[in-house]
Amino acid sequence: MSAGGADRKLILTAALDGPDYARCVRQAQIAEQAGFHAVVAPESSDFRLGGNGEPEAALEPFSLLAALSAGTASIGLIAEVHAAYNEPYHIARKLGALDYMSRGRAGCHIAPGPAAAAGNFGRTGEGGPGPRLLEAEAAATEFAEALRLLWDSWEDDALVYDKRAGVQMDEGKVREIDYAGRYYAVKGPLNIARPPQGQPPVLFAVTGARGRSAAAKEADAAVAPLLSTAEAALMRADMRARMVRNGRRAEDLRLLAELCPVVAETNEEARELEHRLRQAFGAASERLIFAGTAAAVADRIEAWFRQEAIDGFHIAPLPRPDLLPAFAAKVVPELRRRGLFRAGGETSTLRSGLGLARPNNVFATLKRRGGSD
Amino acid sequence: MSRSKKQLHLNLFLRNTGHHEASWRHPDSQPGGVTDIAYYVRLAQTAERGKLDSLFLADSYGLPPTMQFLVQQALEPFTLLSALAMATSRIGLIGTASTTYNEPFHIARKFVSLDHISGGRAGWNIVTSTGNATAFNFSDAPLPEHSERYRRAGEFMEVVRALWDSWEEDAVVGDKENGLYVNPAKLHEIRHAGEYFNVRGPLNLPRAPQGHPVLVQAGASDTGREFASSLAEAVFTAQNTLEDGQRFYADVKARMLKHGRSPDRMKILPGFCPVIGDTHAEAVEKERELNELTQPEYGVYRLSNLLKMDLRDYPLDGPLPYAELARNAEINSQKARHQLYLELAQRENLTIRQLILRTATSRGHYSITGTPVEIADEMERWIDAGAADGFNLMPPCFPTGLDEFVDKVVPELQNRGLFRTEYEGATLREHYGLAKPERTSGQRAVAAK
Repeated sequence: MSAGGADRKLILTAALDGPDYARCVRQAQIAEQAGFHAVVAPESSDFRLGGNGEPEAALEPFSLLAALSAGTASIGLIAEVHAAYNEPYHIARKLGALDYMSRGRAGCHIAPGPAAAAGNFGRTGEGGPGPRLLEAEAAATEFAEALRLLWDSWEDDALVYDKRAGVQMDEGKVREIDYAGRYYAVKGPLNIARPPQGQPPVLFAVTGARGRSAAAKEADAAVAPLLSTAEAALMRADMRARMVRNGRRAEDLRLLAELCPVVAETNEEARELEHRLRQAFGAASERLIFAGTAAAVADRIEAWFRQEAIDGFHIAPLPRPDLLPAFAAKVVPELRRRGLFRAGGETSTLRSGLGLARPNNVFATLKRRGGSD
Repeated sequence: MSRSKKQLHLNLFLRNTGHHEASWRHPDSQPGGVTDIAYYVRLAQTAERGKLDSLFLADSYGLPPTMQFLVQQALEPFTLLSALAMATSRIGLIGTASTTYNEPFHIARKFVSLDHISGGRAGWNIVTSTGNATAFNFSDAPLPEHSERYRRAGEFMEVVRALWDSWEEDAVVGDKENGLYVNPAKLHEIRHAGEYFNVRGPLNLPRAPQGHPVLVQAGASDTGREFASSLAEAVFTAQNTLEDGQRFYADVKARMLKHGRSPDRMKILPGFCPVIGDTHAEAVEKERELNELTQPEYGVYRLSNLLKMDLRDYPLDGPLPYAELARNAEINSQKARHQLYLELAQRENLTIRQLILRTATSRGHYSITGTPVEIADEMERWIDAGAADGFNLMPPCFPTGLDEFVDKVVPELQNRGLFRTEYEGATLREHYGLAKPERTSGQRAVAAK
């Protein structure tokens, strides 16, 4: 359980979608006005036609979120990253830049990356998917670890800008990380100072056991495809145990359930819509759908939240453009009336909005303890 | 405005506190601005007020060992340019990306994303990476050789351009009724299989508003010139004298013909660093003020690094040890800059200290100290003499050096009929007067699954 007690508030995030920039701007503004904690820009490493749930056309997440940072003021900006097809150094500095530009609103959702996209990143003479794909969760764990070390390669007070003395930085506070993992090798230091949040929050999707293990090691928040409160309780207990085994405090992870909310004027209308959506998704991909009037959807959300297994919901890309605005306009005010959701208009960093502490710099901590420099 | 005169093009080289190496120590500079979007927004809007064609960000994937002396470019170009796209409406946005440590698929879509977000204002300064400090941020393998980096760059460009052409202009149908987003017949796999890359495609974004973002290049070695003349639409270059500029201009435009390209499909923009004063004496005083802030310790380091030789043991007020300097052929990066410095030192008989000061303002690019009229005269002279199509503007110190240029030199150029008084086009391509590229055909259509 996290941030317990009467003050406990629901966390809400929503996915952006599509290649149309103007539409993404509208989605982000709707989410921000409703008081959502963050929007997530999905990554696409591939383009395929006609497949259900296949990656589709999408603007590159960092370009999209950087542009959105100029048109929003308080909402978190989370970029999905495919670890198999990216380098920690590039991603660490983009997140650093986004964090500065948005004044502490950047975050990332690290996913292994679809194997089907390997054809877009092939190297002559290297057959088949590399170890980054074959051991995807382990690679994603390393990726997150390398990001944190790169951000920590600068201590918070490394920059001094002493014009008179001609010293712009304290050299002793910037260091190489010499990261030599199984999947990534990064020397460092990063070429941007430690971000405002110290380390922008890292999200993982948790599905299988290996995903849970990766999240228990590295994630600040985990997004899970959960179908029942019983499943949620089991997931939370499992994550709690895994985190303790990894020497982390169980309350340092936010658990979000993936949700497709379907709000209509009447329950009948909503059920009809839900039926059509389930057909469109296909039997293979079962999803958590709350369908009904605003009050009915709020009831389901409240029941899940009161059980205290999850901290909130992530609204995945919705198949109809009117579903997110309807949720924001009708369900969110209801949640607020019930005291379940924050008032809105708060400006904070993404990290503090999620109720997470700003992490200490690992190298500075070592140095204070008299450890190796 | 007189149309008889050749119009010049201006790109602003946006670089942290300015192009003078001591600019960050100047009282006017704002070194903390390098992580502040408001700082860059103000500079970009000033450039747009001056009707400049574009602004440009250099980039590298590592921290130089001289970091204690120098303010670093901190915000990564794609994120910074995307945010600047929101704060501007007309100015072109040119970002640097390396072909050595990136995936062609990523780079192709990043520039298309930026082109969509900015409404057709994206440009790509194509570079190959230098230095093992960069190499080791991506793997434990050292930097590839100069020639190999360029071979890889050539193939990288083939892949990126094919990906840009993988969506026909009218591929998006957006037929909501029938749930048809694209017309599969207008989407093409590229099936590239080359020496370095194997890329299937198609790209995951609709074709860029400009067709292709504008391609910019700055390599000045023989290999670099060949590369530029085969595909670049704008070239940034360091030319110390008008005569050098003429030679470079004639050489690159001649090489274009060899590649079957018309010379007007590329704008050559030498670096141009103006130290501006209302009187000549005032400008000279400004330059002196900046030079006084330089740190010889850093200058020696900078030169040693470029010339691949430790100069710390040689007297600052003596000549360069020419005999002992490594021959250019042994230099694996920044070949042309290496040669330019040696020639400059020999031609003007400079001591090590003098060479440091001579190159402190703009790192070997052309610099001029004078009044707005003197500066405009010089620009006009370069254009008339066939040494440039415009300039890569490198103010010694931000924001003042840019403010002065926009407020004093731009009107002077406009009065002479050399520079636009309003933007006439909407895209970067239109500002530079560059044609929209034709789609290459011959790729196979993607079958619907």
